[in-house]
Amino acid sequence: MSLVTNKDRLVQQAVVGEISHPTLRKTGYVISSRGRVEVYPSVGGITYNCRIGDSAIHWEADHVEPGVSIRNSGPSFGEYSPNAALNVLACIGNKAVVISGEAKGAVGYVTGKHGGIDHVMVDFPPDVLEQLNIGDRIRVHAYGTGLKLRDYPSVTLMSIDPDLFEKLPIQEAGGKLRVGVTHIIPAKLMGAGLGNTSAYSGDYDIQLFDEAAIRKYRLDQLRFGDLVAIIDSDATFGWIFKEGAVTIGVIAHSNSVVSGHGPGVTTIMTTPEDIIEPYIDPDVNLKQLFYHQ
Amino acid sequence: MSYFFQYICAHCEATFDIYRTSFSCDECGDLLLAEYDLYRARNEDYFRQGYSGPGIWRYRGLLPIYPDQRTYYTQGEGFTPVYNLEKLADEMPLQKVLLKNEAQNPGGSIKDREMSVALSALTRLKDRGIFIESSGTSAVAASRYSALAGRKCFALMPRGVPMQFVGECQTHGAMVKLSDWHPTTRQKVKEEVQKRTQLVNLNTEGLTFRIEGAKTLYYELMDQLQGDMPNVIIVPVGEGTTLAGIWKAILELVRLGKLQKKDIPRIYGVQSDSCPSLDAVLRKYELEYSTTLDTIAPDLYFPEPVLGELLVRIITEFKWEIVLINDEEILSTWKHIAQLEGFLLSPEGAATIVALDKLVKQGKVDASDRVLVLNPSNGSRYIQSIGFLKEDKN
Repeated sequence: MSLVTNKDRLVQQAVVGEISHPTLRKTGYVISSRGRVEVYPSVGGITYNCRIGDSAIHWEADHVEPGVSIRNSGPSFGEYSPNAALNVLACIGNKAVVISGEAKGAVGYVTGKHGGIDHVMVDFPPDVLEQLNIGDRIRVHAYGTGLKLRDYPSVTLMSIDPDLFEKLPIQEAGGKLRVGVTHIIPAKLMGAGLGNTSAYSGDYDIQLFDEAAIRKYRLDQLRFGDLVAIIDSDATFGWIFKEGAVTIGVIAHSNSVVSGHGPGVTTIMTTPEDIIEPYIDPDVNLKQLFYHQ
Repeated sequence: MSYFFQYICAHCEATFDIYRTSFSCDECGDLLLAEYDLYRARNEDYFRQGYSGPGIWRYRGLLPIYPDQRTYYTQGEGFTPVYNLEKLADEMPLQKVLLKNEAQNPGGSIKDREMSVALSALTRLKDRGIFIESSGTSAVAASRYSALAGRKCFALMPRGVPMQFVGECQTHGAMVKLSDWHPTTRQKVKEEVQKRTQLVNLNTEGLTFRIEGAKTLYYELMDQLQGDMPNVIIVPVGEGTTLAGIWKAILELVRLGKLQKKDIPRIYGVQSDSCPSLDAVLRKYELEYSTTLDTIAPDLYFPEPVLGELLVRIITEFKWEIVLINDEEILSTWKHIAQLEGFLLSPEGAATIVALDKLVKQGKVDASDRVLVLNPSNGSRYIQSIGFLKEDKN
């Protein structure tokens, strides 16, 4: 049996966000895990020199988001808001088109979602980044929410474009799914993001405060857009520790000095059962998947 | 309410709407299978769709029922018991040997499941009679459910078939024709019958629905044994509907999230070495068989399985196997089980235990396995044809 999905039953909708301005506290301070006050560039805006495929670690930054960060600042209606829809419905790999400003018509791809600040990140080529401005509007062709695997109902797919999903290195073997990832990371390293009851938007962070763990799991080599596996972690209804469970995600934002924080992982695939078997494939990065396949 | 929403070709996967009246593929001519909206069913109470009875119709959500259908032909099929054959398990020795006793269906065989579903689904073609080719219980069940549905039934049976079966078919009002089991002869008979009246052929068109009835066996096992399912199942194979039904149930249960692919059981099909029709297709050799029934297990005699291609694909994909047995082995095991466990199995049921013994001796099944064997029908029907009691008196 081949891996079959219900992609022909999925709704495709337009969602729109504006390029957000970077945000910081008035002081610019963040308090690091060592108790030091430090100042760094952080979330939001147009980040010219951080793209998918680049290191997510070696930056003098805190939670910096690669490419362009968008949000929808339209008004909320009770618990409903257009930014929530943007953050839930936009899926990694979705096509994004600039619909205002100098770069109108340029095309990019969704690369991740950042919880808390509730941004969606979009990758554009450098020449497009030069033309973009804060406030430019970007339309995402949202497609992927509700994606299911026919033969693996206990595997939940989220935030992944169906066409991109078909490009992922996934093989069936012995009734399990072997998934190629750049890193296999234990759940004990996961931090901020835990406690949310949904993984359909946002991310959860890999803590990088233990040198031995960084060396053991090669975490200093994480790149934006890397596909990673978090073992003993289920994200079906928010991120929890569960032995045997596996969550597959994409590195969506950079490292952080703040306790409990670190490079964020946007979930694309998860199961509470012993079904997903990750294996190391150093090339599984969105850059490769978007532009070289 | 049923999740039945389209037919899909077993070969080329072309899909068709449920209101068609032909059950073969327009593209390639192969068998159509009923397909259900399992993406939707997996989030709902998929089988208790307005019915809580114990029989096969409790799975009506996953049976081929049309939205406007109100008529079902049922006599309480299914929910047959599962017995623990402890003495046999000790003797083998195995951890557990379970027996699913289909003899306790209303008509005494597993075929009641198939025919209850088929005749109910074929209500839309009620102006056509029923045609069945069978050397045993399929003909009896087809006759029985045709009578229940008020339809004419024509049964074509091989010469040498136990007269008990012929008598049961005739008692239910079926016309029975005995014939040499040669393809040309049988085709001639079929053409003659078709000239006289339009019939639905349960060995071709009706297979779509018979497989649906057969699959309830595995659904039922999941309910009866819950988390204690066998990892080895041994079933007799003649026409192959039981094997195809189990495959279909497994496929659906996987898609419903009730069974994981890694937990799919190993299935062994049992055929008689006097007519190893499926084995011949699987291993690509020319089948030699007698054109008159020459085995004590009539339901293992089916020289040209229409489901052959599908079954070979299934067996190959899941690495299942066919085990060949002979009449002498059946006879001795039949008597042995009757005396050891107090079960008068059908010869086909005894054949599954012969196969189990072989598999244990070959090391393919061992003490770590939990095994289920299937007794497809009532053993007392065969006493006279085998002449077993007479032989004992002598």
